[in-house]
Amino acid sequence: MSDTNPLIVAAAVLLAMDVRSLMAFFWFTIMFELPRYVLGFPAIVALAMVERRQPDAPPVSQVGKVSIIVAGHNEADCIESCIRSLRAQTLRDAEIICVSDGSMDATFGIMQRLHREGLIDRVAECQIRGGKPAALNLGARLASGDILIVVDCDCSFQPTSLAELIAPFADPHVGAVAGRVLVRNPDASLVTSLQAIEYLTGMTLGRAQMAMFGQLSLVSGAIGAFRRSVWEQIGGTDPGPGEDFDFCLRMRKIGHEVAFAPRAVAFTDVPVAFTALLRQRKRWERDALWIRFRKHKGALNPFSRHFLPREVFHHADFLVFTVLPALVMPLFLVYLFTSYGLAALGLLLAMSIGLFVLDVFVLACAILAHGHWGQWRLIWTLPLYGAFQGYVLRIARLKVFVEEWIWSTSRTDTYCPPKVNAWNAWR
Amino acid sequence: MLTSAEGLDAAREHLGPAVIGIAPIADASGGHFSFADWSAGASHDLSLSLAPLGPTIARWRKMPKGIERLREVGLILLSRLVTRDCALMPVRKVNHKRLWSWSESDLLPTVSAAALALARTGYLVKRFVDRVHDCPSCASSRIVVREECKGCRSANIKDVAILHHLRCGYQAPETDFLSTGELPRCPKCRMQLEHFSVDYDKPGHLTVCGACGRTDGSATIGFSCLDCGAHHDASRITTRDIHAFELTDEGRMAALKGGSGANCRPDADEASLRDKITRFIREAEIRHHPAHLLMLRVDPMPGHELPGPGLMVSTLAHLNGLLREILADRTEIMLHERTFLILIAGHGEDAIRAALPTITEKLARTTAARLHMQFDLIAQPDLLSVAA
Repeated sequence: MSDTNPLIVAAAVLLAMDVRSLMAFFWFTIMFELPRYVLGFPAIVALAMVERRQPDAPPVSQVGKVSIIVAGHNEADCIESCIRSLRAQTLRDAEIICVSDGSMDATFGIMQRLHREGLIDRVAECQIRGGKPAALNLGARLASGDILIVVDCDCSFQPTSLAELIAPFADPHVGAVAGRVLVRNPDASLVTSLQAIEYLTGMTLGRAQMAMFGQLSLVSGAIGAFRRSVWEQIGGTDPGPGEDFDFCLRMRKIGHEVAFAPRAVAFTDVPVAFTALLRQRKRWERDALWIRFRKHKGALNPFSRHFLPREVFHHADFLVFTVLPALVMPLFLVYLFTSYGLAALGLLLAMSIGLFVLDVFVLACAILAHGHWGQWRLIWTLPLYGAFQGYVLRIARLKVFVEEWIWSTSRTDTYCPPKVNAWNAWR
Repeated sequence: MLTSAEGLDAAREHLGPAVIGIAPIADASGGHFSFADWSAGASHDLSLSLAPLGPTIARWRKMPKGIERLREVGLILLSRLVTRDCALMPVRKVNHKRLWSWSESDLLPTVSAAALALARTGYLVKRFVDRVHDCPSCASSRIVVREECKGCRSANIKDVAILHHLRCGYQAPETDFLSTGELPRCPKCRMQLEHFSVDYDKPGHLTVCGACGRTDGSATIGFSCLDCGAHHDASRITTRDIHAFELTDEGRMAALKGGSGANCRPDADEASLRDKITRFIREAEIRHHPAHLLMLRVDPMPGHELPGPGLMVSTLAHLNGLLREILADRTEIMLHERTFLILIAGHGEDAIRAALPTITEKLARTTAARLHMQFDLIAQPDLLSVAA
């Protein structure tokens, strides 16, 4: 009986291996998982350095007038709390511009009421939905600020977030600044709790690390700021989805820097149900793929006129640590199960335990570095985090990549109206 | 008949305010008096021209004797309305700063306040005519309401369509696309836009200011005073409602009785009082409510005389309002001579007696008349004998 127990068999296999054999056996983990941690630790240091390097929020007069653009479609449930959160900022005198993008609920009515109350400076309504990118462009056109802050309607903010967000603009080379997004509803479900860990560790640390190397290429639509002159230079956002990422790539192409402001925190509600999470990630992964390698094709081809050496690093990072693991993981699992049968389950469990220890360390470092002590409660779901990231999301990612590469499923995305999508033939 | 512009002052001096206010007036001065019941026109047949005055003269003759000695503006106004058989109507005057005025204000300078007081007592009833805005700087109602730029307050604004270039996602006022030629051209990608709904959409409108160039989602409403030139936004402007005042039966009765302090309600004769008391007792019995009759007689204070008829009418009406306010809902108040008969259901004797000092105190505090009130409370068993 004991001879057939997968765990015992796995333990016996592991104990019988020397270091070389272990490395050969755990090639997938060593190649694709460990770097996540090995790079994670410097990332924490990087974050600390970024935070230390970041100057205190300069007076508005130093960076110019600030306009906040809030564009939304059917956001009646959350628009008011978002606006009130913006008005509670330490950054005073910021102009708030709201654009209702074809909303069919009470969004525009609420915006008008807040406008009458003096909480919003300008309100515009598009009666036909044109998609968020177009709404942002309209908001930017109405704005009079030198700095354009773009936020999502379903976010709320720490009182100093926007002041922190504009601080990096004291450097004239900075064209955009990415804020930091944390989860507002970590206790809503197991899925939200796992996402909370991901936002706190993976996303934040990843951005800090990329920012340290000057390779940050994404300003989240949830909280980001742009220099108006840069915005106008590249003509605002293109039709989405993924317009925030696309905007940053276009901006980097003409030589502007993207900075990271880790103390500019926005809280957002993440999908509660697993199916909703999969839908969200499907869009994210798909956008990342087609924007990097279809819209901005030639980014990794040295013979292309679109090739820019400074862009190679973050594209390669995406290929090596996002695309490749998703493609290779099924092969690894096949190899594992064909070689070891059911004992592979035990081996996978052993790998998960090892990664869990590292996860605890990264979470601890992230919390210590940021001071969000309340996030310690996430530790109860941490044992599942490795499997969630390593298997569940990776398999979902693989499916999305295959669908997008073969069938271009992003063409049918509903983020923008069909007649806007119809023009994006290059997709 | 007033024959010259100065005639009014002379007439007021010789005839007194009541006659001037109530008697039919013919204007032969050439149209100086807007309050006149008749103005000399093109017709040379005076008897024919004065014919419309006939009914007014007839009603004037029916007014009680001594009316010409009235001093109370409210009673004069009531009598005037009864003799004209019409409502007190405001007149729109564009050359008047307050925009609405009363024809009668030359005759009765405090006509507005008097009408409001009579409306409070129930002799007149207000009817909405118009709402005007008043300038907070100079109180003028001659205000231009207009759409303005939210930035510079200029009225030089125009609506422009929002244009959305579907291909590149650029969305801005249409004027941005029209700056280079006849056909719209996208300022972002330089493409010419030809087909509506294929190349581009127009999903809404914006307001563009011709003075400062500000583009906004909508204009704001601004108020510009024609008299002092001040600009105000909606939050500073006050509104004022203009009302006409129509006679009620009570008002008509008070005028016809000459404000002698007698009945101010048409149903206060003895027979109807008796009927009312009997009906009230029956209803209280059916509902098992305690019923009381509070008799309140108003007399002058020792050493004082009864106030003038006008003051007496308004004081009794005021007291009527006080009683309704202090006593409970289920009360019926009637006035006979200077005695209020108040039928109260649903309250015990103690509660009613506890309210009496409040009535006395409030009346003394809110009226100029020196009056003494005498209360007599009759409980249910004795009520039938009172009714009988």
